[in-house]
Amino acid sequence: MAATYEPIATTTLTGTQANIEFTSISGAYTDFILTGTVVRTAGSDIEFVLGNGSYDTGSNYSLTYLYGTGSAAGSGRGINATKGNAGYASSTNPMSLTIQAQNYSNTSTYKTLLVRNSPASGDVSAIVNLWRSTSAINQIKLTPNSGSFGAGTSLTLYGIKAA
Amino acid sequence: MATTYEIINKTTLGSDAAYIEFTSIPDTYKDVILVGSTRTTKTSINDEAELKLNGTAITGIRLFGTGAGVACDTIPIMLPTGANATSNTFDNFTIYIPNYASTTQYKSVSIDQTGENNGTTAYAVFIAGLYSSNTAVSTIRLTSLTGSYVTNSSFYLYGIKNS
Amino acid sequence: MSKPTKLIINCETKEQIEVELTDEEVAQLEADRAKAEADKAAAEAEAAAKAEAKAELLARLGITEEEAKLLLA
Repeated sequence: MAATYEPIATTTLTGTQANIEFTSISGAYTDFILTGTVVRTAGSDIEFVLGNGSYDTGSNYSLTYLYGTGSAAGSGRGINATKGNAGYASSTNPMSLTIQAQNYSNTSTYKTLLVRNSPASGDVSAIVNLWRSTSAINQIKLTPNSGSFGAGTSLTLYGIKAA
Repeated sequence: MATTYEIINKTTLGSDAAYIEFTSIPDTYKDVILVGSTRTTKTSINDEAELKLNGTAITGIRLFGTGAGVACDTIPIMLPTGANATSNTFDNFTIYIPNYASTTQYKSVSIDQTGENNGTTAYAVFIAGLYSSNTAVSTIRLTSLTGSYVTNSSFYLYGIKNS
Repeated sequence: MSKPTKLIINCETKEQIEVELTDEEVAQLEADRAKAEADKAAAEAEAAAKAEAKAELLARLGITEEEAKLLLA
């Protein structure tokens, strides 16, 4: 029986990295989940860009976010952004991160990505990102907007088949 | 090919229990995820439940909505459905611990929980937790802080491999 | 009156055992509950103190919360 939930690729950092990319993502799955533990060298947002063959750095991203800081809760939106957002953490403690993209390989609709970000210091958040492109996603690049990914960062990309 | 997403152990309560604990969790997976559906005996819309890993309560941030407002605090306590919620109604939750078996870093914990109640108050909860220890997680305990988990509360512990 | 019970699920042997808590475990459970309650009260008190300080500051400045958000935007 074909596996439904399969690891596509995984990485665990032994040193710092400015960004982490998953490229040549197979279109054989229905959805993908990118998940794991992120360690940062400084408090920062994690941002990402998507693409098919090349990264889209145009103003084609928008997002809605719900967050809690530990003392305040809030929500907001971003439009015509040049990157997607995968949440903020203020400390360098490990943070669990999940980015989920349903129907990522279709070429008919824009792409929605659901992010859950759980830093115990910084903003616990749920974010919906929209990439206004009908291209299939076959690459994703994540970058902290301050500092770098630290050693111990461990991310795995899983593909999920609908049948 | 090895199965990626495997059940480690599961239970559906046949009688009330103050707490449930998974012990001797093997360190052979990359991540673990505990999912379930619960209700407790506390005579309120909701109870409170504490997560302990290896006997230590997690710290962190909680963001939750009540149907009438949203709040955020630093009390990483879950809000399971209580005895005064709509009958036969159980909450559902996921507790995701990436890199749970690491012996070189603290563990981030991501908790999503929703209850439902056919009334003016029900809770949706996000928790960003931290287990501040380099010890691999081998025990997971969920404790009702006022009552007991009732019959038919269910708990499923899965291991997720990354290769 | 029977004591509360715990359910222990051994992931190595797959055994599931439901037992009554010992007196020590009951005491620990009650201590955990009391600590959680105390932590919650402390966090709520801190939040209330911050809200009060914020309200006092807004009153001193003679502005509303919406006006304060506008200033800081």
